[in-house]
Amino acid sequence: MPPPGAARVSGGRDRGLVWGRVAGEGLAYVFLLVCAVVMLVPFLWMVVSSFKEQWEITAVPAIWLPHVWHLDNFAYVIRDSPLITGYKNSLIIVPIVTAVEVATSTIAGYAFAKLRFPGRDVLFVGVISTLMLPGFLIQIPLFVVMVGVGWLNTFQAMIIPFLFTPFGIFLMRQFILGVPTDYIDSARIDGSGEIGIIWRIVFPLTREAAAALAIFVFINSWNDLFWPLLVLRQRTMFTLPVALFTLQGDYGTYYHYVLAGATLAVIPVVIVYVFFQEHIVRGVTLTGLKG
Amino acid sequence: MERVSPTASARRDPLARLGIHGLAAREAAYGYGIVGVVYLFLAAFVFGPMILAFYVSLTRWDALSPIAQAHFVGLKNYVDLALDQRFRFALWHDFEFAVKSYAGQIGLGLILALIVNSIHRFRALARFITFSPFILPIVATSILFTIMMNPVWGTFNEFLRFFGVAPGQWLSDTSTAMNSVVLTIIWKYAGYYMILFITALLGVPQEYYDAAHIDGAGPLQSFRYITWPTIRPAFLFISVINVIGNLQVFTPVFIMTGGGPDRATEVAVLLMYNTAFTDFRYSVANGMAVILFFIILLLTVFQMRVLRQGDAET
Repeated sequence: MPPPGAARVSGGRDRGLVWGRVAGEGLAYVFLLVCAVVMLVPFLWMVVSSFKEQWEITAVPAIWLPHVWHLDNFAYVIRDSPLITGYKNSLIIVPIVTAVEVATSTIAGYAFAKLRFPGRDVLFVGVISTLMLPGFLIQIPLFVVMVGVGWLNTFQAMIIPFLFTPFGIFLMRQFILGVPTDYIDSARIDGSGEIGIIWRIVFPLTREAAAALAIFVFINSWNDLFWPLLVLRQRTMFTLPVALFTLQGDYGTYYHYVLAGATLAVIPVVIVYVFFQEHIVRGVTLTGLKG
Repeated sequence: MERVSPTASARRDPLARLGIHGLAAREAAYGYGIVGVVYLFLAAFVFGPMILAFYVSLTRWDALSPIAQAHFVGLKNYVDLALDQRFRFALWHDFEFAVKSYAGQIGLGLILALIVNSIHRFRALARFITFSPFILPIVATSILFTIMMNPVWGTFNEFLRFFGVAPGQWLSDTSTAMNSVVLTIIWKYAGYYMILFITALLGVPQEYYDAAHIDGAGPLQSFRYITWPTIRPAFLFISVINVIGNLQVFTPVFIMTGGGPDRATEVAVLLMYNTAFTDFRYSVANGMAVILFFIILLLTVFQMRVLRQGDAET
């Protein structure tokens, strides 16, 4: 984008304005630099401190860099804590939830957007009326349902309740509305089944929305602490957030171990962010403004 | 007969066997089939639990004994909660948290968006860095900030001393604990709101700014008359979602303070969690959930109304 006004102003009255602009932009950079430092310092401090010894973290005045870079902090946490179990469980649960939710949302979104049947729109209002329901109102009572069906400490408890979500259905429907109905009708006349239509016509045309939903679900499910805290009580079943939380309780003031665990939880996410930044930002924007 | 599994029906022609012929009838059958499954799930995992919450809140039950032993007590839990100072304080802390977080997240997010939008270099880099805290897991962030906020040797106090400011008590003092959690949450989400506002700002035509500039409008006037009317709908929508989300805060408070010190940060969902799973007053916790739900519902309706009114004006 061309700098607004920079080229076209001239003459005495505007000179002050130009200088004002330059100064304004200078201030903007200073402000952003401060923000960048504020955003990055905690992260850098965490990574560096995860190599320290405990006393180096609690020393006053602060010791910024470790005398010896202790890789064994990480080895200890990996061996001794449920962190790796948490990773494994999260890497099983979260992709399943994400994939299934995108699939079910696309199918249900298609039904609400494109299939013609009496009562459809009323039924859709019924679905989106639950959109704003707060999680705790569902999850606190859902806990006893899980106890009742014997799903405590199981992966089902982490997956089955989230197979269909009002938000996913709503989001996909909004985007599937934009798919030309002619395409669908002609495919149907050509003898294509509904699943074929979804797979070959709807999905390719709404791939961006599906990707956005996938990112949204993945981030939420990866970070959720409340629900797994209720239903996963055994260490072998912990997801990463629960494992990380337990680490804080287990190690208490052994800050170097706690920070090593936090670093291990954060680094992969940062790597993913560096490589898929554009996708993540686009996905987050799409779900954040449409939801 | 309407509940045809969508995968099976894609194959040969199961619908014909059910006596459904013709394209329109087929379409309707698929529609009801899919929506039927959706409603089955919603009944089991959304409507069901919700009704259960309402029912349980009218009983006395610890969730340890079978539900048949839940003793019906009518509105007793609600009456008790209305008189319960601890619950009232928790709601108050909820509002405190939501208001402060809203101001910080939305305020800083909007300022960042306007600034990033106005600069000509390093735009992508600025976005990349300020958004990055959003992707860090909230549990890790909360643990990290708890450690950095240690009142004795914490890094934050180290910085304060460096700038000649008296060190703070952060999470250990009743008067600063809530602000410290809010600070953490602002740090984590300001970049997220910045990204949303940057997208909203894309709707503002650049020529308008140029024209306003030629007409001698300052930056504040440009914002008031050009930027604001365009981003207003997005701003209101983002505000609604923000408030609803922040009233449900749990994780950062749970990890950073556990509600302390002296219950100064005990927010509603945290109190619910403790009431249900530490004190085993499960039915009371459900009553709290129902009350908070209605508060959020009222706020949502109120905000939606304001939002729609605004649309009519412009």
